[in-house]
Amino acid sequence: MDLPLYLRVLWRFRLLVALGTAIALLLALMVTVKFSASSPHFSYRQNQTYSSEARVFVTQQGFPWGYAAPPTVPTTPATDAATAATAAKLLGTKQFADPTRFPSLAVLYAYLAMGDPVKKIMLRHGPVKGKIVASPVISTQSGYGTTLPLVAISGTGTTKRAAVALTIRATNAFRRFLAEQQASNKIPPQNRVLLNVISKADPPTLVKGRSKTLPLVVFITVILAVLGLVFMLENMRPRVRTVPADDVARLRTHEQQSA
Amino acid sequence: MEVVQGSVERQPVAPIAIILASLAVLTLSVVGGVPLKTIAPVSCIVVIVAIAYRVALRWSSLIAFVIGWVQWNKRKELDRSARD
Repeated sequence: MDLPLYLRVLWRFRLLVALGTAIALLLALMVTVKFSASSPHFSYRQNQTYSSEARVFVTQQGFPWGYAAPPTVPTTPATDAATAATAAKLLGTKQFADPTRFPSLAVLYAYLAMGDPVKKIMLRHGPVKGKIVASPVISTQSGYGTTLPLVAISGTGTTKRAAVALTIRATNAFRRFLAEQQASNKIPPQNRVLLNVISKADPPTLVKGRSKTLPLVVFITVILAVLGLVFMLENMRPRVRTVPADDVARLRTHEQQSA
Repeated sequence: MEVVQGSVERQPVAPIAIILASLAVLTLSVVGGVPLKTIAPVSCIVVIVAIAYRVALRWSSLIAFVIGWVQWNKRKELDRSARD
């Protein structure tokens, strides 16, 4: 590798190299930014993606989670009259479902929240721009996964505000869907599953920034092309190098001696 | 006097034309707002091959390219099956 030679070649075609570098920078900029005659004159070509998350508590009326031992509805018929009477006295006006039912409902509701009926409800208030993902909340603090009676609903958007708005819309649409289903099936209020919003929308986080790969590829391509052109032009029209006078004298002496 | 076998170095006209064409396509795509996800990498590869065609088109380089391509596709297939 003859670095001085390479530098001499680059210096010989310095105008071409400068022009090529300017074009490479301009094209890389144009890949990143869009120019427009109308306002705003400059805007990014790629959008960022933000995500916000809401959490919904799957529960029922009367807050069964406040009981040390909630009076649950018996799953098997009472064997004798005394047991049945005791159960009826305990239940009174309160009837709680088995607490283990709610985490499994959360898993089911996560799928329902992403379903078409919920999307239809959302479309009543305009188009849906962004993705909606719902999942049951799983606690891993105990070392193994425990499903909690919570559903996390997250929405994405190109701005922070859009992500938060979509999350709130998706949550409201899902709650409305469940309420409509319960009303149309005439489920008594005390037996209905409730969806309590415990976190309306978390502060949005950036999940996907603008990629710098494409501008970089364009810049490198143009620079490579320019450098290739420069060396090919040099090979086509090699510059005759000036030889110092000492070297000429030395060569002459050498020729005379060999003759 | 003796005859020395020699050859004239061919002018690299075709590579220069390919490079200029790739640059033109890239520039028009960027200015025209065409999606560059395919055009930019292809232009980059074409330019690299046009510059270093003597190295890139050697049989050993081509075999290395084929092996690399097969390995890459195999890995992609494995990733896809693991995801499914």
